[in-house]
Formats: sequence, structure tokens, C-alpha cells
Amino acid sequence: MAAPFQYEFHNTAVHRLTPLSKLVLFGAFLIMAGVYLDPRLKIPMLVILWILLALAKMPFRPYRGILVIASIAVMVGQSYTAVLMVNPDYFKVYDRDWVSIVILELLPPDFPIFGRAAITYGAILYLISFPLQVIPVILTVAGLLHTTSLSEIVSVLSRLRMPFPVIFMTTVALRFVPEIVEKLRLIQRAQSLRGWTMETRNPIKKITRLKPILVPITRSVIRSVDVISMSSKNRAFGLGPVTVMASFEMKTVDYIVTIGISVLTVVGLYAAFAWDFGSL
Amino acid sequence: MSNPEIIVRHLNFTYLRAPQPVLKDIHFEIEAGTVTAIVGQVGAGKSTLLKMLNGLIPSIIPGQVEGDIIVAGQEVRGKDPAFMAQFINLVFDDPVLQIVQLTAEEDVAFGPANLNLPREEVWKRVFRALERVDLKGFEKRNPRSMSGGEQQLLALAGILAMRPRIIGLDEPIAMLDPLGKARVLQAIREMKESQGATILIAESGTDIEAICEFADHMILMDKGRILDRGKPGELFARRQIVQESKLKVPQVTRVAWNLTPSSVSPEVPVTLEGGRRWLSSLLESAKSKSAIQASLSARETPVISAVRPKEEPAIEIKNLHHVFPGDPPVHALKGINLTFSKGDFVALLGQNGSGKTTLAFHLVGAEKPTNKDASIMVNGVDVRKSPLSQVVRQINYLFQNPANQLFCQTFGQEVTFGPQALGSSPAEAMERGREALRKVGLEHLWDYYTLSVAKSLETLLSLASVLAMNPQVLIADEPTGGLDYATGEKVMEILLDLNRQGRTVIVITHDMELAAKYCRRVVVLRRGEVWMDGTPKEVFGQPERLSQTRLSPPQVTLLAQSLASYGFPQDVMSTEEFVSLAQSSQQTRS
Repeated sequence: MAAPFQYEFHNTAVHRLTPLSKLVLFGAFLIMAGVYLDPRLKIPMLVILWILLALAKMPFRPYRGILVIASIAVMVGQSYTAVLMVNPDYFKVYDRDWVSIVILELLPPDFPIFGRAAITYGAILYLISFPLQVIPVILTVAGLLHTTSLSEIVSVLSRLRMPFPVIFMTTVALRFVPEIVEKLRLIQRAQSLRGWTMETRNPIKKITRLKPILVPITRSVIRSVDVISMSSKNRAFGLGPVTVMASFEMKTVDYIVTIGISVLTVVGLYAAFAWDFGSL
Repeated sequence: MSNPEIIVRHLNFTYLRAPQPVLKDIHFEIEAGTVTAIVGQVGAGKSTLLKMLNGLIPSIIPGQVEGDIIVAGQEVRGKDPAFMAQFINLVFDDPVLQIVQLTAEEDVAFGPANLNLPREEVWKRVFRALERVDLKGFEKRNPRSMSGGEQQLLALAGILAMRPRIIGLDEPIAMLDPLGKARVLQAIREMKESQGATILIAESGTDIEAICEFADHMILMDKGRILDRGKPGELFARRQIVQESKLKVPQVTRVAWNLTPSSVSPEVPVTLEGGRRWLSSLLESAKSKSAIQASLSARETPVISAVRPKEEPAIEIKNLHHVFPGDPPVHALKGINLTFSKGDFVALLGQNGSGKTTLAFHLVGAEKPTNKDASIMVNGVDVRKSPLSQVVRQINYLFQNPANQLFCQTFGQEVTFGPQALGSSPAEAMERGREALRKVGLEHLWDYYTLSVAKSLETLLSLASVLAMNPQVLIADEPTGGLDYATGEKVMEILLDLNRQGRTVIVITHDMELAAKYCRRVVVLRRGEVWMDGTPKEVFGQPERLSQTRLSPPQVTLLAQSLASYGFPQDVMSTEEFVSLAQSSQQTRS
């Protein structure tokens, strides 16, 4: 099965773009995902991103679990803020009466420290906007890594005159994170056969029971770091200037994508800040 | 020496905070364009020496150095390994950790790009190197999707593309299956013939037979010192030194040792072809054939497993299928039907990807069949329906990499973890732990710290931690992998001892000599199906069928098969058996 966040070669239009065009393309999605909150904008944006990634032949299956966990995590994390957003002034675009409709009253207005808390239509809208923010962010990063090879990333970082340790750490992380995930699975299996289990209702015990997994994986990573450092040095990494393997030669499609997306991003940002476009 | 490419003078090295030096007064020269094997047990100092030749030690792993190293005319001390990489490159044993890019072509390009060669030149070298290691067509493949052998070939291609003057190979085939080993060895052979590079190979003994096939010289190391050196045939002729080093000896050499008086021959055969020629001349006698044939009837089974398996089944597998999802899905097991008797000692053979580990994981409940009508019973326990905690009381698994299982501070804690996790009281767990450590000969290390112990100790401790759970069936996945010959033999003797006590033992291995020597039954898997199943003699005695799995019988079996015209049978399993046949022939002649 394909590993998440890994480059895969396919001869697609997205893969063929220069690293700069890809950076602009996926960077625009990242910016918009961060700036816009309105689901009415986010959902079409997500659909466009989805189509783009499907065209780039990115497998979605490895990301299902990650997207579900991340969505739940942000919703749980933001639920505290959401129920306190009972003041309709927080909402600039949506109808103030509509967002104030109460589904469930949680705390009275005179409640110490917190004040009033309620589940309103506005709170639900606010909560929904967060998974719609985190999903495009994850998919955008995944898409960038799926279509951009390590040598392209190294070439870009070298052009940006990033220091050697930064380039080294980036490449090692991108290459070996899937290996560590695989190793974790193997260790978990090995310990299960020794009677190890995570099942307990005691949260402190649950944490201590991670030791049989964490100790071997830490040892393995420490051992691996030395070998990876040696492997890289052994192949003259850090000797001096490096041949730029990625092509930075812009074609027509690169100009269209780069200029077009840049203009759209600037207009989108202006609209967001000047006219609250994309706000709740 | 007229043209030394490597000069090492009075080299001593001590790792930082280590109590004693790991290399002691190492002194040698290596001529350009030759293949030198540095052999010796694990811990002899071979890998350290190789890594010092390009400055990785002490640059990345620090320590105190005395003496001189001159490589390709460069004084290595004080030089950055990245600078030395222009002259000497190493290939390590673990293929995974030396591949740093996400497609094959980019990984091969990594080295030449770091040398700042023109882009066109880099791509030219990339395609040439991939072609030379037979990986043409793999350019865009993610290395993760490649087999261990292919990954090691890719690592080799990455080095070839840098076109160094010297290539050091640190146990290059230790972690590969037989097919992977054959492909890598073939690539090294071609490299020797066409590249003209100086090649050094560090080898701890498991693959000594393969290395002897093309090494021009050998340096025998033990405990940080050079014990002896010379041509392989000359070095192995000095048998006392070799025996003292506990190095694995090629089977043809052991045959020669047994058939000739000690210390009289200046050279002994070390390769299959050399052995065949040597024995042919020895057996040139009209009466030989009849003598050997006469002795055939008196042959005893070479299997040294002490107990005969009972009729009662320990494991029954019926119609086991497993399909891994993916694009396309992988049908890893295709209707496996097998029964293992109680007290059986079985070798599970096959190339990587043949389904051995997947099958073994099903037996311990770590994988579930993907077809509903499959059935796996272990000592009456339905593995498919029972919880893992119940299954592991009957059957357990010794992982290939013991480091995956060890996490406690001391040996004592490690061996008591399993029994306690299964509900034993601390006192009972301690008793079982002590007994398990005693079985592997480590009872004196109860309070010893597990951190940074040698691989051999890790394997024995891991075995003890599994034995403490008292399983009736034990599956050992490559139990001798990465160990030197002497420790590997020790592990196998422990497993044999367990078998003698009535336990069923299944060994997943790529070591044919080991399978022939210890196992009563051999099961060969091929593409998820049982391809061969029988005694070692039955399986290894069918070279044509076996060759379709790209497996090869032990060297001594091949030797006997190559001497078929002298009446040698096809199914000779051990050097002892071969020697007794040859001696009968000699006695008849005299």
C-alpha cells in the first residue's frame, strides 16, 4: 500500500510542472484554506483540490484515518470556543438572527468566569469550518509531496540558499518517516505476541504501557540516524555545490499556472481583508 | 607491493568511552584492481576498519586513532568523508537506510549530483549504473516497493554511478534472500571484471562460500587484530588459525580438510569448481564408483534432530488464503494446506515475497485469513477465533530483528515481562525467566543492562524472553541472520534442544546448510503456494524443481551432484556424509 506524504512518480500534468509552479499552486490552496472560514467557499475549494489531486493520481486511502483523526481533534479542540460564541457580533457575513438560534443552553449568562455558553447555529457553523480548514491543509501538503520529488525539493532549498543541515534534515524526514511508521507497526506486532496490550481504563497506565513501543522505536531511530548520516556522507553529501537536478525551465503552462494562481491569490486575499469575503 | 591503493600502517582505534581498542596494530597494503575479503566473526573489527578507510570513523562515530591510513594517495586522517567519497565509497549491510531518495533514478543520481557533475553527465551515469546492476526499467520506482535484493542493487548502483577508485562492501548480502544474494554477487563479479576498481568486502562468515568464489585475497581478523592473510585457498590451508578464529569454513574446504592429513597442503579448495576438480583427481580410480555405490546402502540419515515427531498434529492449516489490499491486490497465500506434527523440526524456505512470514504471522494470530473457510488450529486452539493472549500461550514467534522486542532496562526484567503480561505472579514469572535465561546460557546476566548489547546477545535474550512464555510451538524467523557462524550454531543448538524436549520448531531461513543439518522436514513456498514438502534429502535431492524457486542446495550437495559420474548420490546433505562416502572410496583403492 502507498505510504502517505510520499512522492510517487506519475506522468501527470501536475507532476510535470516546475517546482516553482507547484509551490505557487499548492501554496495558494494553503493560504486560502487558512484565510477563508465560510463552508460555502471551502466546500467548492475542497472539490477543486480533490479533482486536482485525483488528476495527479494521488491515492486517498492512506489519508482517510489521518483526515478523520485530525478533523475530530480540531472539532474537540475548538468546541470550547464554539459554545462561548453566543454573541452574534462574531459573525460578519451570516445572518445575525440565524447564527443566534439556540439548540441547547449550556451555561447561564451570569456563570462565573465563562459567562453564557450555548450550542447555537453559529457554534455549529464555526465547528464545521475547522475540519474544512484542516482537510485542505493536509491534502495540500500531501499533494505537494506526492508530486514533488526529493531532488526537486533539495534543488529549491539549495536555490534558496538554505544551510546544509536544514536540507539534510528535510530530506531525511521526508524519506524515512514512512519507514518509521512501518517499524512502529512491526514493533507493536512483536510486543502483542509477548502479551502486551494497550487495553486499560486507567489513563496513567495507558501512558506507561506505551513504553514497550516507544523504547524500541527510539533505539531504532537513534541507530538509524548514524547509518543515514554515514550513508549520506559516503555519497559526498555536503562536499560543496550540488548539481541542480530539477528543471526550473518554465513552459507556457507554468507561466499560466504561476501568474494565474498568483493573481487569484492576491485578489482573494484583498477580498478577504477588505470585504470580509470568506468570513463567517 | 608495486601499486598499493590502500596503505594502513600500525592502526589502532578506540571508540569514545570504550574500555579497550577495537583495532590493534592493523598493518597491510592492498594492490589496485584486486578483490580483498576481510573476514572474521562479528566484533572482529571489520566494519570499523572499512569505515575508517573513508573517514566515516572517527568523523561521525568518534574515537581515538593512532597510525596512518592512505587511500588512493590521500592521507585519510583529518579529511571529511564527503571529500574522501570522491575516491572510496561504501555499501552497507542494510539496504533500506542507505537509500535517501524516493525514486530509483534520483537515488542513483544523489552521489554524482553531490560531486557537482554536469546534469547530462549525472543522468548518463545513472542510466549506465542501473543497467549494470540489472535494474533497467526501475528508474521511476519508489525503493519502498522493491525487494531487499533490488534495494541493495540500487545502493550498489548509487555507488557505481560515482565511479570511485575503491568500493568497500560491508556484509553486502547478509540481509538478502538467495535470489537477492545471487543478483548482488553477480553485480560485484561484473564490477570486478569491468570497472577495474579495488574492491573490499567485509564478511562475518555466513556467506563465506559465495565470497570465496571471487576474492583474490583474504584478511582474517579476530578481536581487532589481523590473524592471517593470503589467497583464500592458502589461508584456509592453515586450518589451525582458521579454526581458532571460529570462522565459517566453506563445505568443500571442510571436505578437503577431512580427506587430507593436516598441515601438509599449501592450498585447499574453497570454491565449488575448485572442490570438484580437487576431488575428481582424488577419486580417479576404477573402483571408486562401485565403492561409493556400495557405501550408499550403509548411509545414515544426516538429520541430527533428536526426536521423531509424533503423529499427533501440532498445527493444522486448511485452505488458507491471504490477499493484501492494494493496486493491484497481492495474493500472498493461495490455499495453503499443511499439517505439522508435534515435535517436528521444520525449515520454511522460499524467496522473499514467497509468503513465509505471512504464513507464520497467521499461525500466531498476527494476521487473519481473508477467506472465510480457512482454518488454523494450533494444539487444538482455533487461532482465527481465539484472542491473541490465548494463542501466544501455545505458539510464539522469534522476530528476525530482536531489537524490535527488547525495551526493558535489564535482562531479568525483559524475560519476566511476557509471563507477567500473560497473568503469571511475579515469583512465577521470575522463575520462568531464570529458567529461560539458563536455557540460552545467560543466567549470569540477570541484572545486566540491555542497552547497547551486541546483536548476538540481543538474539539470545529475545529467544529467552519468548521461551519464558513457554510456547509449545516456536517459530524462529531467520534466527541466525546477522550473527556470526559460532553464535548462529549456538542458537540452532538451543532450538534443537527445545525440539528434543518435544516442542515443535519452525525455522524460517535462507541458510540451506542449516536447514539440511538441523531440520527433519523442509517446506518450500513459491508465490504463496507449497512448492515442495519433504525431508531435506527429498527436497535438496531434486535440484531441477528446487531451482525453479531460485534456491540452491547446500554447497556439499552441489559438490556431490557435480560428481554424479563417480556415483555420488544427489542428496548428500552434510560434509560428514560426503567424507564418509569419499573415504570408503579411498579405502577400496588402497
